[in-house]
Amino acid sequence: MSIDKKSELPQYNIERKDLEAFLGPLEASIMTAIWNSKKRPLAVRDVHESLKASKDIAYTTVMSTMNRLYEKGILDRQIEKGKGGLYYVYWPVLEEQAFKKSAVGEVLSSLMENFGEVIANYLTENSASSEEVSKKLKDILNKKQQQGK
Amino acid sequence: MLQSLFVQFFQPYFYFSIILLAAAYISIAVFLRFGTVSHRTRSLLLIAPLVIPAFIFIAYPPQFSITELVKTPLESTQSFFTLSSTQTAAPQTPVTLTLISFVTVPSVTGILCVSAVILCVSLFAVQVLFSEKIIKRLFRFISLSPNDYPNLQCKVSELARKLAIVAPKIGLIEDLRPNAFTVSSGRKAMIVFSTGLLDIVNEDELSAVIAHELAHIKNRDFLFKTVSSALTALCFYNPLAYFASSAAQREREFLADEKGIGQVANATALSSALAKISGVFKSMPKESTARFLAANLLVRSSLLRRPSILSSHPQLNQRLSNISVVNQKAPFNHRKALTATLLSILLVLASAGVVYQAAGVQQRYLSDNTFRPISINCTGQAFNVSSFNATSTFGMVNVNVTGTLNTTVAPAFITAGLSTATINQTLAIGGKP
Repeated sequence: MSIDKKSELPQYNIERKDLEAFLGPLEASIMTAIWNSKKRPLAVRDVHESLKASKDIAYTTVMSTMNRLYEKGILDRQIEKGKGGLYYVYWPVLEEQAFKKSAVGEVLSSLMENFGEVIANYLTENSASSEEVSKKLKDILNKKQQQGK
Repeated sequence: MLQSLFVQFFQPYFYFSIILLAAAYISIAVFLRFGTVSHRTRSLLLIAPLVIPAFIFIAYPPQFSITELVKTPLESTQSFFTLSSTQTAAPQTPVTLTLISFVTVPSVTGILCVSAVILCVSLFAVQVLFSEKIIKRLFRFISLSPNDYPNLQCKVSELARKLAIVAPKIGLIEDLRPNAFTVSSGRKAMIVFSTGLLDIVNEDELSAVIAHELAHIKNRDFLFKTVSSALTALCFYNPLAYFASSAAQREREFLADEKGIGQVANATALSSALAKISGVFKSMPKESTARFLAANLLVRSSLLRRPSILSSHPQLNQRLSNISVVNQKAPFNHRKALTATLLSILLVLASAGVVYQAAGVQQRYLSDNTFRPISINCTGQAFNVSSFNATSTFGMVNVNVTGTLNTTVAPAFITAGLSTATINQTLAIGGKP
């Protein structure tokens, strides 16, 4: 399963780290809060409550950002009738790892499609760099295997 | 059963409060027919009669217990003896047959009265002291930070300044249904908006809604609602009180519309906002009963869908019609109003006279409350009661006993609890010993 291709594709920003490379800082904070939450689905006020503890953030800001994430296809929502009345509740379309895999996959596919030969040459010419990359990849794989045990 | 109901409810407190209340509202209807008065005056006229039961309570405190007739069933007697004036028989063991007795039972009117007073005081206290906390918990509204809807906060401050009132706090509820309401009054006042409302109205319409809610605060409508709810609770057994209270609330809504227009100077914007809100509201599911009850008691809510006669809000077409004729009211006709006032006073006085006469009858009945058991005591004789019937009407107790008496002594000695009477005849016994 991947992010709906009809929605906005994630933009990769090489200057940012981790999730913020694909999402804005606030979007990343909101998604992290939603992924880490045990409660599903979540209303805007629930997310606002969890973010309020670490940063001064307006309720309306959270509301409009979650609405934007819904329009991007990263969140889904439905109307729920509850204590506060009728309101939207949200849940992530993909869990965190799946989202990252999908986003990275989109970027890599695009790079390979447009610059496949350049990538191959880069890896061949920069053998030292490629060794570092290979070593890094092996370390990551080993860690994953150990976690799997 | 009818007798029992009559005794229970025919107390001055009960019929005075019901009949005088009805008379007062008929008078008000007659008065309003003849003259054009402001919505503020109408709302006060509709609430004023609800204080009547409070005065009647002081003048005619209800009784909390009444005396009821209890008839001893024939099958519960010890034994039957034959009463015959012609036969002779050996003396039998003395038997006392208690025919009827009286017991004291709680009075429904007294219970209703006490319940009404408790309800009135409790409701008033809850509304004044806890309304904000209850509403906050029930509606889960959020207090806005300075960065939330800055335009809205500016408008509220600006319009509050124009109305010369302290800018109220602002709350937000995450509800797709468009709504806005005020809670509490004075410095504790708060206006709460729903996200649904803020999404659909434009700048002018938002100003109109804000002005309407601020007008409620300016007019002290929360206090008015608190008092009228408490007075309605005092007459909770009287359906007329609910109709009158709802009608008074609707008048306050009209008043808030007028006041709001005076500040916004844009009746079109208010009409447009109301129409838009009503249209969206109709397509949404109704709110829960708990929220509705809380809103009815504790807030000034903008839109509630209920049958119009019991709704605290006028129908949309009535509001739009009222908005369109603001500043175009017909002049007050003094002669007609004077005629209406005199007719109203006469009507109330006539009603008071009628119930006062009825009170006299009722007082005679209730004052006779020292009954003693009525029994037939035939010492050393044999007697047989073949039929027995006892009825009680307005303090007069009629006892019919038929049968035969075995005795060599004539006439048989029979005592009734209240007076000596002759067997085989109707015993008409007065209410007093």
